[in-house]
Amino acid sequence: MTSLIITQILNGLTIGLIFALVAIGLTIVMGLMEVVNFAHGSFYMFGGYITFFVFSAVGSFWLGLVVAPVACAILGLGLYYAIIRPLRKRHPLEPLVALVGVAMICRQLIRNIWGAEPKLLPIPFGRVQVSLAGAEFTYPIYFFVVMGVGVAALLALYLLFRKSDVGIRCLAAIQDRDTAMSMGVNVDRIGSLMLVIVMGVAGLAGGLVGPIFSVYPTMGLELIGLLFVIAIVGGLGSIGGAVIAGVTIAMTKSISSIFVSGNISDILAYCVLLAILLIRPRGIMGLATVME
Amino acid sequence: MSDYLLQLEDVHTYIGMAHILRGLSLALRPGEAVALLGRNGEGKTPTIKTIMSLLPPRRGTVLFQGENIAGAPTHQVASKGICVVPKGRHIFPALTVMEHLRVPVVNKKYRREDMLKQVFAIFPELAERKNQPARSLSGGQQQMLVIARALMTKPRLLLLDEPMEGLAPVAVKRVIESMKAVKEEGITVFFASASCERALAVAGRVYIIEKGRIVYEGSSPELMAAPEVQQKYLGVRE
Amino acid sequence: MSLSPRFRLLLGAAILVLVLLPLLGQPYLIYLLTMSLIFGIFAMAYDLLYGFTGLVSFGHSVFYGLPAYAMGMVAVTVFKYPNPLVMIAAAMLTGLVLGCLIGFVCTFARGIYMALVTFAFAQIIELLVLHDPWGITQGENGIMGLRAAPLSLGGLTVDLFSGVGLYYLVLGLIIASYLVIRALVNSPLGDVFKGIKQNEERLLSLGYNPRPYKVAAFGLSGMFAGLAGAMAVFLNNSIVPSMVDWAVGAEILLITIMGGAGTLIGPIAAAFLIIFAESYAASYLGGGNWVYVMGGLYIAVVMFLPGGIFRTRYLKKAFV
Ligand SMILES: Nc1ncnc2c1ncn2[C@@H]1O[C@H](COP(=O)(O)OP(=O)(O)O)[C@@H](O)[C@H]1O
Ligand SMILES: [Mg+2]
Repeated sequence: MTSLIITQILNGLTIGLIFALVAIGLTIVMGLMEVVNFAHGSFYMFGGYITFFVFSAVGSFWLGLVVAPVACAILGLGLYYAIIRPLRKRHPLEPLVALVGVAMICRQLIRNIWGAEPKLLPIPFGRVQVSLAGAEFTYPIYFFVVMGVGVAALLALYLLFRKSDVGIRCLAAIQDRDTAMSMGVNVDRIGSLMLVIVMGVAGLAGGLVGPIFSVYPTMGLELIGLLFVIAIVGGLGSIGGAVIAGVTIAMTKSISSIFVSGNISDILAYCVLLAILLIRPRGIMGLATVME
Repeated sequence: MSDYLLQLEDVHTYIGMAHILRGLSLALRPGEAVALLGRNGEGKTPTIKTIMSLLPPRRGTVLFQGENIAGAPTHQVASKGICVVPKGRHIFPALTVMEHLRVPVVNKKYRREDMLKQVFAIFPELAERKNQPARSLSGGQQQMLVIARALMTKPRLLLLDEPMEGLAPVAVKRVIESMKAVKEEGITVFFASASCERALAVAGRVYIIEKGRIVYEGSSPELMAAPEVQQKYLGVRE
Repeated sequence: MSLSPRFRLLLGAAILVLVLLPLLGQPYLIYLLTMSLIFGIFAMAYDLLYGFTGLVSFGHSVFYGLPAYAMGMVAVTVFKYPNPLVMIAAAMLTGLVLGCLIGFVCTFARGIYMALVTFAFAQIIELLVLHDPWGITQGENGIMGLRAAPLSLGGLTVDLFSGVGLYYLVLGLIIASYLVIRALVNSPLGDVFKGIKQNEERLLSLGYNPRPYKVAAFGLSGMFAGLAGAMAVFLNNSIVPSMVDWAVGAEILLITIMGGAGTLIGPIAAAFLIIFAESYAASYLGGGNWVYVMGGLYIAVVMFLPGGIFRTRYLKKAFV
């Protein structure tokens, strides 16, 4: 029993970090550009499929993990110029409608190319013997690798937002767009840069989870609701908040799934969300933001 | 080229459907300190936002150094040498003091280190609190911070929207001192205020705004000598 | 919001066409028209909340689907009392009560956070309906056999609840709903709604507490959404979990924005556009490729018709 619980805690941590990584991108885009990027999940899916494609063409999963974020970043730039920039002066829900259209088209595109069935990526490495809190069990090494890459990526984002001018300006614009512009900050240009970065990160996440969940056309759309929840509960532009929210939600799901069916554990996860939103109506790390 | 630094000519600005500035004209000479006086709701904030292009005017011209900047993107207005201290301060609550000073885009002609030195010379209280989150500063310190933040762009014209409002008397004194220091640097100062008395401590010249139009223009001594004007436009309405 | 004479004429002509269309005698066309009208009612309900009060809900599927399940409880699973008028009343009442309840809870938060609370509710309710812990919703199968018995009016029985009869009933209901909602948004209550949308702070400073009004907007929106859900049950003869799928709520949001939020007529027009486009694209392009048409439509409308179909320059002139 203890080993089962610890396994689920580790699973929750791994998945929660990945959720947080993708969700941060959503909060940045939402906070900075007032764009509810429904197509964000599509880039996560692209990341998974590009990794799969490279793996099946060249045989290297790791090369796939490098190509996926780069390709997704480039696609992200395309999305910026095709949809987000032309609609940047509109009511925030108008780009949302267009981006729902983009997400629908992306899913179908993937279906037409690779079919509706999940594509399996083999899990690299084997399992390792773990003894923790008196429990002995084996755990896949790859999950630890995912945690490591996830933490590294989160750290990179943290450094970007706290140590570089562009990151600090981005945070400033999220908190008070008009004032940041009055200080000479070109918010549109930072927006395009951020979109490129966060889409690359989403692509990386999609590739990372490939061996865990396999890749399939609805993997993005399935997740997008939960991602919004994590993004907003964490607080716009807050990395720490997104990590707390992501890990909390993933842990709730993975630990409660020991005791109750998958459906009920989902219900519990949403109840946790409801509770957080009602106790902290502006998110865990919430600040006054542009979206109100 | 005219000898004005900034010139607003028959400016009409709308907020949604509401016609807020109704043919406003004013002009600032380089190096002046000028106050925009008026009761609440007469259009002082919209005037400042119009200059910053945060509320682009629907009609009229905003000439800065002879160039029409009406409707230019706000960040470009800033890069031309106008910066603003918004009403209610508008700090970035999650950023530290030092991070605040990294937000403004410094003109390429200057080095950030030099600018920081200058700014900390005017506001030594900020140098001591570099790594403190801005939201933990007192109201007066926050006001210093946003003035310092605006100065980081090395503007030729500094706009301030009700910079003394809601501050303790000591802090008001500091704000007045620092505005004078800014003027001494050769920076043109234009600020909105609802209080005649405090404004006259800094301004050499005043405009009075009512219902989106300039209704009075004069030097500070002139306005001081005209209590009936003060009562008519700024006093408590009967 | 009043309509210009030319626009009234246009509207009259549209209604006339809708009245005459059943003469073509095409059941599938009637089906699509009925579905469009139902989504039209649903979209107006959404518009009341979003377009006029400025409140975004990501969980409107709840107000469409749960009233349908309430009908199912009344007629099939719990009370077994299949009187059509009682069923409709139960659906509308459920929508109203549910709207007030969810509205009460979610208006603790504001803006996007409030929208997220509606989303969480929608997720929880969808999962509960699917899981069916209390044996009411019949899980994934849904509740079947709900098409209401013909209505008896003093010895005369009219079948309002299938085919052309249902079509005319829904047509009547959408006109009635339009008139009621229009009267509502032009009433003093509607002025408060619009005040909440434009500037909530100002309302607060004028001494209004906006929350009861927000709850009322949710309740009223829920009631009309429930009416739409009820009609969909009669049309499809079943209540299925996909009625509470949050995608339904997302679709109605898209329809409302595409049509032009705050115009009532626009969302109805967009409902027709989406229902017909979906159906024809699905039948002409096999294998799910109709999604390209729908996705393209969403993108194109937003790109080329800012503010929605009914906010384009020509049609704007029609509103005096
Ligand atoms: N969001 C808004 N919508 C419509 N009118 C507004 C809005 N904000 C301000 N106003 C109007 O603009 C005018 C100027 O207001 P304000 O900016 O408060 O002036 P001041 O800075 O002189 O106090 C007032 O008549 C006010 O009612
Ligand atoms: Mg003001």
